[in-house]
Amino acid sequence: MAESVNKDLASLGLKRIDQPPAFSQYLKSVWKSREFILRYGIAKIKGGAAENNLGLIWEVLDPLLLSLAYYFVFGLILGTERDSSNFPMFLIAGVMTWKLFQSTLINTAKSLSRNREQNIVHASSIPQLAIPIATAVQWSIKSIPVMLLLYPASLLLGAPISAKWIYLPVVFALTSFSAFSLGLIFVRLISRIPDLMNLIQVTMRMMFFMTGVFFSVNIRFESAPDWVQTIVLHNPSAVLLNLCRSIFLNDIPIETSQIIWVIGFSLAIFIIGSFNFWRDERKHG
Amino acid sequence: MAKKQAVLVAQNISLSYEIKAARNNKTRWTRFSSAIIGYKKTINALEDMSLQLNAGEIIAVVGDAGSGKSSLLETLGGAAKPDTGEIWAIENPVLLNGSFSFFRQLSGSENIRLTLLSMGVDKSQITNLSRDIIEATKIRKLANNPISSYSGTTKKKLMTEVAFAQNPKLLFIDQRIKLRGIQERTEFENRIKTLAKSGCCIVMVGLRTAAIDRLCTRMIWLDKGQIREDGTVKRVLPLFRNRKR
Repeated sequence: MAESVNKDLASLGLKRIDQPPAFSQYLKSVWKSREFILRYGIAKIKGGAAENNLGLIWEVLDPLLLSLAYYFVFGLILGTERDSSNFPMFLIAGVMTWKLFQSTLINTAKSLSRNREQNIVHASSIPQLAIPIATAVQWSIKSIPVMLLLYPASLLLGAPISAKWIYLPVVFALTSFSAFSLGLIFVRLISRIPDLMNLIQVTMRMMFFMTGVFFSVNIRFESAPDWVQTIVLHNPSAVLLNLCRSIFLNDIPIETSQIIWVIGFSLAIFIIGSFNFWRDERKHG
Repeated sequence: MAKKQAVLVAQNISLSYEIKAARNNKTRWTRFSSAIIGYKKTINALEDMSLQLNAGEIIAVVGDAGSGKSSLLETLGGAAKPDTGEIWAIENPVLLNGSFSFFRQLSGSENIRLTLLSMGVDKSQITNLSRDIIEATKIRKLANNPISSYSGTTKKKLMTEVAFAQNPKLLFIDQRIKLRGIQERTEFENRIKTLAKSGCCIVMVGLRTAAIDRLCTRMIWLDKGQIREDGTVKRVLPLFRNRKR
């Protein structure tokens, strides 16, 4: 294209609109749409709540009933009760954290695959990354009552009040950030290879069993080969679950190196994910 | 007539994309395999197209199915990145396609707010713009009711008013806005005319030829991803009407 033509266009007050913004600009525009992100997330929660009679109460009821089921099947019948001095608390902290992790990850991954979201993205000027973020916000907010329930549960189940309680919001934030970052990796992959959607369910199931929701990974994988142990102990969701449990229970083995690993891992995945996301923006769908 | 002021210039843009399609050839085996694993086909939607849009124009884009109308709108609107070429514009175009869905369970005013935010409207302007939109659609009494209780006409009106509210300089309207009845149509067309007078360039896809005759000032006829004719409605419309099918 002749330079002179472009200069003329610029002098008319026109600017190029077919080129995606630079990565830093892109992140800036995501930050600018934070108001949209929050309101969109809340709108989706309200929309979903209106579909059931009990509305958001189900968000709490569901993991509670699930905990009860795990308690009978795994705790009592299969004997994983021995894995912790306070198994009910161990279990409930695990189920609640896993629920936050899993629902945030899966829904972030699926966030752009529906028609409605495609239309919003096409008809609006917000960066596409706003939609997965809003979805993660939506599912995290939904889990707040569930996490808050851990405090009264702890009192009820005889775990002592402790100064460590103030860390729960931090663990909560880290869990949802970690799940969001992992979900973000999947979003573009799914739109490129829709078949992956089928694999996600299986992957999540495998992760579920490697996370130790109703048993202790440290105890149960003790006799496993070294490489299996390494994987299991570095599994972000397993570390996050133990992190949450260690707030309420004193016998949870957790090392600082594991915490640093999870933070580093999530950050790295987030950077890769958002970079990849930015690169694929505006491909014809 | 005043000198034309360009609001969008596209130079040599092309767009191609892949779709999953059934292979329409023959043997049972290829049909079987394409049904199981899918068969990809490249569509050349736009081929080396150049055009200029000017302030105040009301443009109808016409062409047979698959001629590239929607692709053109999507590309110029920034939803799809062209493979080649450059697009220069005075601002990012506002795209109005009937598929923008509201949140059914949320109230009218909440939906207005959310839609404006999604269009990148600044937070400080939203309260004022929302009020204007509610006035224009006459839904003040309904503003706090969920959208699901609105009539189809009200929803359509709301959608168009939200798009018009920020006084866009470039407005693209896709075919899916279906208007019922003469009153609804006249209101819509008058609104478009006022907007054009204020300097907005409006591009519409999927209009009936009668509506083009009433409303538009310019007509672009696409054929197989290329511009076949581009000119006044008076000149292009008869050519388009008498085309060989």
